[in-house]
Amino acid sequence: MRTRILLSTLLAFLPVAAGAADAAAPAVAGVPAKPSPRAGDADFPMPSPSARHAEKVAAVRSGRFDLALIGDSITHTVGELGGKYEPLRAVWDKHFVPRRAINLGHNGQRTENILWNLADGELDFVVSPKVVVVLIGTNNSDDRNFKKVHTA
Amino acid sequence: MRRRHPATKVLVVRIFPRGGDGEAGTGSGIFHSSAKCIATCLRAGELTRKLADGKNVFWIDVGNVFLRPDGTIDTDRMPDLLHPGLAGAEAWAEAIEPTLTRLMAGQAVPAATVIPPRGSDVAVDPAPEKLALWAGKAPDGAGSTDTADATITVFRAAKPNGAAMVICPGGGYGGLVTGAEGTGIARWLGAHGITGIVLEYRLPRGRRMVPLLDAQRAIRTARANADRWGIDPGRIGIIGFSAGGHLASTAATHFDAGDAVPGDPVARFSSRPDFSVLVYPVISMGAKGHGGSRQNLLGPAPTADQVRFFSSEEQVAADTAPSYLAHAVDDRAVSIENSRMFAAALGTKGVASRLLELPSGDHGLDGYQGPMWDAWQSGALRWLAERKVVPARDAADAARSADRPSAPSAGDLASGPQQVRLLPGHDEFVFSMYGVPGDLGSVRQMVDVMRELDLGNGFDPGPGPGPDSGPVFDFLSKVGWPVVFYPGGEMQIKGGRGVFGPAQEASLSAMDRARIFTAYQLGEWGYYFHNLAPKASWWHDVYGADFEAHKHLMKPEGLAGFDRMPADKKEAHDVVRDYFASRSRDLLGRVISVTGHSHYEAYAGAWGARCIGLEVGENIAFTQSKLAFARGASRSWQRPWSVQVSPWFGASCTTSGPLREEGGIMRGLDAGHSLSFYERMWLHGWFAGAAMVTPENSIATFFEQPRAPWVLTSHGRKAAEVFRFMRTHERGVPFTPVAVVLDRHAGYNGYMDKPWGILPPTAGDREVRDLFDRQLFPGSDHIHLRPDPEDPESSYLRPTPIGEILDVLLTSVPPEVLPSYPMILLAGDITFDDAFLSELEKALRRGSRVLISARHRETLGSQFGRVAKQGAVEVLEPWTDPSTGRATAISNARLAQLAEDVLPVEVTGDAVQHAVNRTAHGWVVELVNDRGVIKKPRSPAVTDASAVAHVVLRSKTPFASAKEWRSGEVHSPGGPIAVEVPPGGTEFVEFTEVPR
Repeated sequence: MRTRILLSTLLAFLPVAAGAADAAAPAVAGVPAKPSPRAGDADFPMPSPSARHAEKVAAVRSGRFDLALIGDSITHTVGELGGKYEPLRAVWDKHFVPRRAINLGHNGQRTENILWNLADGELDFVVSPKVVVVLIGTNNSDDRNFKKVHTA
Repeated sequence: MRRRHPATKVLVVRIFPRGGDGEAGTGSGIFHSSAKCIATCLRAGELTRKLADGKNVFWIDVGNVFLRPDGTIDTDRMPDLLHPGLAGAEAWAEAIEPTLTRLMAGQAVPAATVIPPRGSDVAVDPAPEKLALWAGKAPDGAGSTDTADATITVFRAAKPNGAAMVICPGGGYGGLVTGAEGTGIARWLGAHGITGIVLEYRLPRGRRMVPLLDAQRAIRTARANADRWGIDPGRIGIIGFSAGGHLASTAATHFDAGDAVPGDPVARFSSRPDFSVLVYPVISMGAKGHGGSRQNLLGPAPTADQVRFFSSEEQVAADTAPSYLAHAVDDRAVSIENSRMFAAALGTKGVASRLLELPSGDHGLDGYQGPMWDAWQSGALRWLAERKVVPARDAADAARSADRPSAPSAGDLASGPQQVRLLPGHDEFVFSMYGVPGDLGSVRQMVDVMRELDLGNGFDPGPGPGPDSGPVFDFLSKVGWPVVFYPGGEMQIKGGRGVFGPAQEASLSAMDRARIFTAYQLGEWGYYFHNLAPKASWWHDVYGADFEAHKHLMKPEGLAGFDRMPADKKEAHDVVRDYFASRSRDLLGRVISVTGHSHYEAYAGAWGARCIGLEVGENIAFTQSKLAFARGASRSWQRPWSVQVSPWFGASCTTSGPLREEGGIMRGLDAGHSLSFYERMWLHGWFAGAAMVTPENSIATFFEQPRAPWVLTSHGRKAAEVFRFMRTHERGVPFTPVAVVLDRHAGYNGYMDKPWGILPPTAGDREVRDLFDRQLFPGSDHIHLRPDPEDPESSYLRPTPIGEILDVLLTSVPPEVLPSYPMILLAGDITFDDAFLSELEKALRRGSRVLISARHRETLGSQFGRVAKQGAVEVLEPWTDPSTGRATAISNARLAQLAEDVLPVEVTGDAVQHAVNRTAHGWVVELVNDRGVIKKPRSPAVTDASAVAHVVLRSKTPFASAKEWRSGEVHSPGGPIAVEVPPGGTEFVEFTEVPR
């Protein structure tokens, strides 16, 4: 069951030709059809605002980025989570800094949290990036470490 | 996203693989994911692929960068089994780099990209190191030096286990086969963690010591460089082929501890190989050797001393290196006598050796490829593991690679013997209609209806032969479908005698001439149903008040069993055999045996039944063990086998129309079993290799009314759907590398839980029972004892812990059958007669592994030593099942390991029933979800939609594609794949191999 929900959230977010997805898209993609999401909304169940989110929104609105990496901890750890992942900064410096990239990875977040972030300002790029890399969903599938009752 | 930034390209990265409970992470904070979680991830990852349109959205799967070649998580890259570490982050960033670069530059990129698995070649250092052995001063053995030098090329394993082998290519001492017998061997060794050192020795051209000096020098050089190359100086062997095998054998017999030579850091090391592997070697320089090699090495007129020095069979001493030899019996260039002489010489000196006598392959073993080539490789690795030269894991890999050759090839599929059809040349699987009326009009009409509605292609039973059946049989002869006859209820169920007149015989002859399979059903023969039981109460169970009236029919002349209880299994066996033979004569030898209440399939085969039939459903559990018996009997005796699926379920029978009670019996479409049950049974019988599947009573269950206009019930529609599916899919041949062998007189009878249905079971008999009903097919034994009140259909088919990978054979198995099974497990009380011992030893010599218990070792007594010498005999550790407190034939842990060693595809996740078939193009895995459909005899079936089985499959060999037959889902190659099997459903996953 979870699989289907994950897919529908992705479909809602990404531009695809499927009719069902088109119908769903306006409701979620941060357009005026729906008021700005609030913490605890049914569609965005986990309150997401965080210092990192605020920081990223500010960066997006003020900078210029050719590449954005949208993700969870797997993206976050590449250069920005520190601690035992500090050595991964070398990967960020080598592969992504030259591409003028922004890391929109949020440790521990599920797809719906990330959608919330995006709708709440993380897509407010002044100039559209050339490419967005999306690597999400891992935390939605994890029934042990990131338990979540809400699935629908 | 699209509205706000329409020009932005989106690259969706597939969710990364994650480690399950069976994997070990490194460091602290390990994330072991549940099977369900892994399955969800895999499925979600595949679904996101559908988002890619190749214009704005692109998809990439980099999962393989985190996996080892065997599909497990590479903890160097993902230490906690979830998050990439530094190496992992670098790997995935590197993997998306080309796609990212092109996307950012606005260049075209495929909609979906899959980073391929890290190939086995990666396990070998891509830059082998080549060095000269003698620094330009190679001795010629006669006091001078040679201008040419010998070289070695070192192929270091990426993950060395410490073992190394100097490789001596063949070439008759006149050339060097450095490809297949050199670098090819090095790469194979590298894949198993062994450092391969290819020796290009100088050709002798009459200087007889030159090759040996080079081989000794190569071994010394390996020891001298042990630290640098990551090898253990105590595990350095030598391997050679043909003349290179001769060289290896001379190095194994002529060696020294080394000498301190000033300025030469190598000479002081020992030249003794720690072991040798000799593949179709020349051994002797005498009459049985190879003329060309002898000429090139020793020249035209060697002295007797020279011949003796280089005849390795004469040079063996107690300190000669242990040796593994492989040689084809049909080798025309170098006689197998070479290997036999060497093995015998080692034996007399007490040096360990093993000779694998390959049944075919000639010199070079079919051009260095195929089953014979694979067999020596896996055999050698197993032997090295037994000698602790390489870790057991590498031997398990070897056993795995041994699967491929032992699996039937496409050629086998075309010609048998693995899959026996009803008649030679009849390739079609038969799905038969039950109970067609016997007049010509009805038969004609039924053939038309069945053809039009896809309802089948045979009759079981059909119209029988009689005085008026000439036209019917003429018609059937033209149609060409098989026909089974019921010889009347009395004979069918109670074993009465057949009486045939000339008219019937003429009809049957006409069918024979038309090459149509025909047989009379002999049902449930044995001590229980037929009147062989020595207790009056059983006679009356069957005959009731009519017993006296029928008694005269039931006692064939000279049959002892009627009068007294047999003293032992052998007597019971003889009684039943004589009885079967008497009934078979009465039925003109045309017997299709159909038994449900016993496991006598092997006896039916041995005693000449035309078809080995079995019945399932009704009150008959242990479906899966019966299939294993039938398959083993079929392969042993080359008879087809068939399954009849009963529509009865308690006092309830599937018919058409609403659920209703008639005479104390429930009837209607919702009486009897669930449609899910029938579907699973039909499909499973088909996939397990049956030549024919018969839905019993189908004339009454498939149609609303058994006459025109022939409207199908939902049962009939399901049958048509399933038969269409069967006809359009290549089921292949069941992959059953494991033979479970029972004693020829065992009389295993699951229903009565007693040998032959009547004798008290011994501890050995209980072991067999527990093996089938608790270990292989747990919970399959109690339908007639205590059906589960909540889920009464649950015992017919059971989830399989290790899959249905076995056939059951008896010790009376005909010659050449046993050696075709790579794994042989003896179970229960076994008497080792000479014929069986001879087959068992033959199997061992051909590389089968034989698993026996301490009980068998004891029975073998002084013969054990001889048997064990023939090959890999494993005396199993005793294990008591805590749930029964009884000793078992084999431990559950060993069973699991065995399955892991032999199965080409690993099945994990929710418990399902699974089996694997070999096809011409790869493998098909059958996954049956036996949960989620609840059917009670007197009410409609209820489906629990949540009981989906999440299964993860990992192919152990590379595959080009994996396709689900029923859902149509296609999985990308590499890595594990997730499959969902609906409640009460069956899914088949076809792995198409990468062409070799």
